[in-house]
Amino acid sequence: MTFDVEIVRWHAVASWTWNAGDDVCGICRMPFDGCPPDGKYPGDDSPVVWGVCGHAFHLQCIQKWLQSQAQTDQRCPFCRRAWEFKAAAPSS
Amino acid sequence: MAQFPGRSPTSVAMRRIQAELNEWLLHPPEGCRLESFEPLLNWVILVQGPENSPAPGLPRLYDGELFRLAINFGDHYPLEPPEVLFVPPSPVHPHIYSNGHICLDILYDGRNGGWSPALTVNKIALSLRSMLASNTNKARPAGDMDYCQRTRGRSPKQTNWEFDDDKV
Amino acid sequence: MPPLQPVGNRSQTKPQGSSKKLVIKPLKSKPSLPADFEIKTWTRLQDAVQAVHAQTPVACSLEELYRAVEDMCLHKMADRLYAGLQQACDQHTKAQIEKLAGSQAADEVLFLRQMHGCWEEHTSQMLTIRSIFLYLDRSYVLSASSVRSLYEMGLQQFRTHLVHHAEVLRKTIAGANQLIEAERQGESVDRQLLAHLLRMTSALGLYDDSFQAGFLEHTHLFYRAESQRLIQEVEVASYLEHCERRIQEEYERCQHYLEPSTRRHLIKVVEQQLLEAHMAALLNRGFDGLMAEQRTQDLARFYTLAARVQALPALKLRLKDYIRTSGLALIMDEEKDKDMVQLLLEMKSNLDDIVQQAFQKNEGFANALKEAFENFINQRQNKPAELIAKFMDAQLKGGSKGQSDEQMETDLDKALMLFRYISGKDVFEAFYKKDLAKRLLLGRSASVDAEKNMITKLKQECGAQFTNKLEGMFKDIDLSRDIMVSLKQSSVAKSKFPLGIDMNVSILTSGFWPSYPIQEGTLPAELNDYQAVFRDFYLSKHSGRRLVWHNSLGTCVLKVQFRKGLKELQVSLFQTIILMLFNDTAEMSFSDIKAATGIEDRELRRTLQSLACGKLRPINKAPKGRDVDDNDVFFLQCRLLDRQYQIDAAIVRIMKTRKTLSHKLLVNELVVQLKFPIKGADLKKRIESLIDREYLERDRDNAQVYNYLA
Repeated sequence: MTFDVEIVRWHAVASWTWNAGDDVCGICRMPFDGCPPDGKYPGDDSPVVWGVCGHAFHLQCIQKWLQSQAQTDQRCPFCRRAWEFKAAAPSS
Repeated sequence: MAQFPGRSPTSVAMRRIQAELNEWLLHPPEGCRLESFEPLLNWVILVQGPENSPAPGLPRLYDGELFRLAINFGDHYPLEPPEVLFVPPSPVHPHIYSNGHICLDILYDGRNGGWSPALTVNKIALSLRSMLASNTNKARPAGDMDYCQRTRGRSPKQTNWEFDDDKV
Repeated sequence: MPPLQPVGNRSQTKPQGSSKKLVIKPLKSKPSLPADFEIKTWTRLQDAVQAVHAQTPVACSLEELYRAVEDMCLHKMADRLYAGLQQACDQHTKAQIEKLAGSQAADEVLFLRQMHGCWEEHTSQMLTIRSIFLYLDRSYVLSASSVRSLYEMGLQQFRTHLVHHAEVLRKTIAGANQLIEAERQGESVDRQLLAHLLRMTSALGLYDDSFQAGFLEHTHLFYRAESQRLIQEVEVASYLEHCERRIQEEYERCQHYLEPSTRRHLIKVVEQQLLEAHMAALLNRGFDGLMAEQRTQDLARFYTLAARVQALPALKLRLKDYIRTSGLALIMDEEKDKDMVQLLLEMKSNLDDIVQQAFQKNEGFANALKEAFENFINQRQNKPAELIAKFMDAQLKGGSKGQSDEQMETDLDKALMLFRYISGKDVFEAFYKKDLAKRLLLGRSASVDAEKNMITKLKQECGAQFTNKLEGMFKDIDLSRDIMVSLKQSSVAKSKFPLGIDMNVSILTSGFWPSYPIQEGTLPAELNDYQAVFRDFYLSKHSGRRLVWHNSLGTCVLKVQFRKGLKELQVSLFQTIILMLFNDTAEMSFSDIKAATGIEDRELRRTLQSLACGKLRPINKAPKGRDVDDNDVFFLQCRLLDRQYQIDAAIVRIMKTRKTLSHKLLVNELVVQLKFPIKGADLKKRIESLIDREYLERDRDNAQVYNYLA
């Protein structure tokens, strides 16, 4: 049986957001999908990072926090566990 | 979201404070009321003494009392904690001096401090209220007079705090 | 008094530095004069003066007379000589003025000519007399401070007698005024005569008091009466033209016969009477009409004349009011919404022309225009901002056919200028962003350059805060293209995209784009596979992200069988989802389609309507009609006249409800349902075919009974 309707081309549209549970960054309290306070563009230019503890922050924000702390005492602002960047971020 | 025209938070601190203000206005913590946020760097919060006693049978130490909590944000907020103190008369509590200084680790950074940028004024207010709610001994800290004299005119953030009492 | 010198030495001078010294010694005795020297000399001179006055030849030569005057002066007789001359002149002048006073001239012009003649004679005679008495004028008059020069003495005498005979002066002045009024009434008059007479009054020091004050009063009354009459009789444009001409005429009057000092006062009186007194009426009655009819020349005249009487602020106010009123009428008329931007642009361009050409590019007027636009355009909420964004959208999509890029850019610039007047920038921004998103996602932009150009301009207007996001949208489109290229080159695509659908995905960064509500829809299996492959690929490249599909924004190109052949259709994803259902099923009811697609009820009805009731109708619906009912049945248009297909469909439909039916009863029902005749043999063939395709089966116990297979 031949098909009377056939798809030749498909233009699909999707949007992406950071897969970070709480919708605002715990440090700047701006939405993950917006910019941190000194960022210009949201999205790619305002990356979100995860700690091994599972908590996410704007890269810019957590970096500032870690820099303000002693080298030997770098902790997650949420759970106070030692901070370590997670290699692969969770996607869905 | 509540917006306040004429205010344009420029620095990182201002934008974060504005965000906290918006959150507060949407979901104020129980028993607390924002009395003033003018200028935006200095808030005054009215804190009601908790109505409940810490456990059945114990007296309700602060029921009906009203306190003023001053929050003064600095330029480095939230990397550094805001200055938090009660406006005298402060609640009578073993960790609160009569000049309003509060001995609570999350209010300070540095060696012993427990400050984290993930904390907010909302959470600080809740912590202080629960500190009052769980108290069973309505008394000033030891050496209150002495401390107040020593720290006259100084910010509590300049005090070298020792947070050794985990009971209260 | 100069010291007297011996006559003989008068003209003797010696070059300086000569070796021989000349020594002057006083005379031993005074030279004596003949006793009758004075009387004889004066008589001679008196005769000469009388001859000058009588205009008869003078007996002696001028040289002789001059010498005589000189001699008398040298012999200390100057004072008596001056007195004698003064008396002689006075008598003559008195007689002349008296003659004028008794003039029987028939009209004022004739009288004025006599007056002028008298004055001409007087001045020319005084000049002759002065040349005879030059020595007296130079020595005696110069040394005696209380004594007038001879010419002035003549003037003084003329003035005295003229003032004394007030009637003569009055008649002269009245005559001049009458001539001027006659000229104002359009008669041609002897300007030369007027010029002479007015110069006379000026020379006599009578101009300011005796002439000018009265003349200005005359002028005042004349123009007051004229303007009060005209303002009632003629329309504003003609009135202004008249004023302009009048002022010009008065300037000419000043050039031809009035004294220069009069000009300022005269023009002021004319301006006051013609313009200032009627400015309010001119503005109220005439301005709007001239504006509405774009009468640039008349408006230019209005402007120049208003400037003369410091009425520009009032004119500006009126302009502002006019723009506000007419703009408001335009902006509030919902029926004009379709053309609002175009109409506003025309209005603005006309007004700009007027400010340029009629109002001398006056900055204050340009500002008034701007303020008036800002005022009226914001009287209606949101709509103007929305329509300006729409207008820009239409331009950026290519505008009208055959429009050049330059034209597009000018039109965009003009729209941008309107946008500047809008105070609710955020409304515009939201609409602009929504339209831009559509252009980008549907590939509708006419020119990327024009788009980028526009972003740059918006950046200047709204700041980077706004355009950052728009720029981000462009970046997303570029990034999406890159991702698709790398996906299509990957091994994943080669192994997992077997069907040959050309898939492209636009991946939007949430913060940049308008927010789109999520609309559900069950994709055809093959599209689901493609989507999953893409998602896995994308998330493998970008960890920490979450993808959300926007089905409502998806589009497809389909090949669809129509009765008249195969056609390519550009359709939405929802339309695709529905059309694809018909590959598997002959016909479907609304509720079947709803269950199969999971598309939200209203959206589904809308989409079905677009497919079954549009221009191209890939699917048909029974019963026909625009409304989509729950019980309506849909089928592909290409299958409409396919009888074989219709028989199949009818059999399946009947069997679906009956489940089990004997051959005879099935045939009976088919005859009722099908609207065309059928042969029994054909029916049998169709039933066999359906059994082969496992829609039906023969009952195991009775070959004449069919069972429906779900």
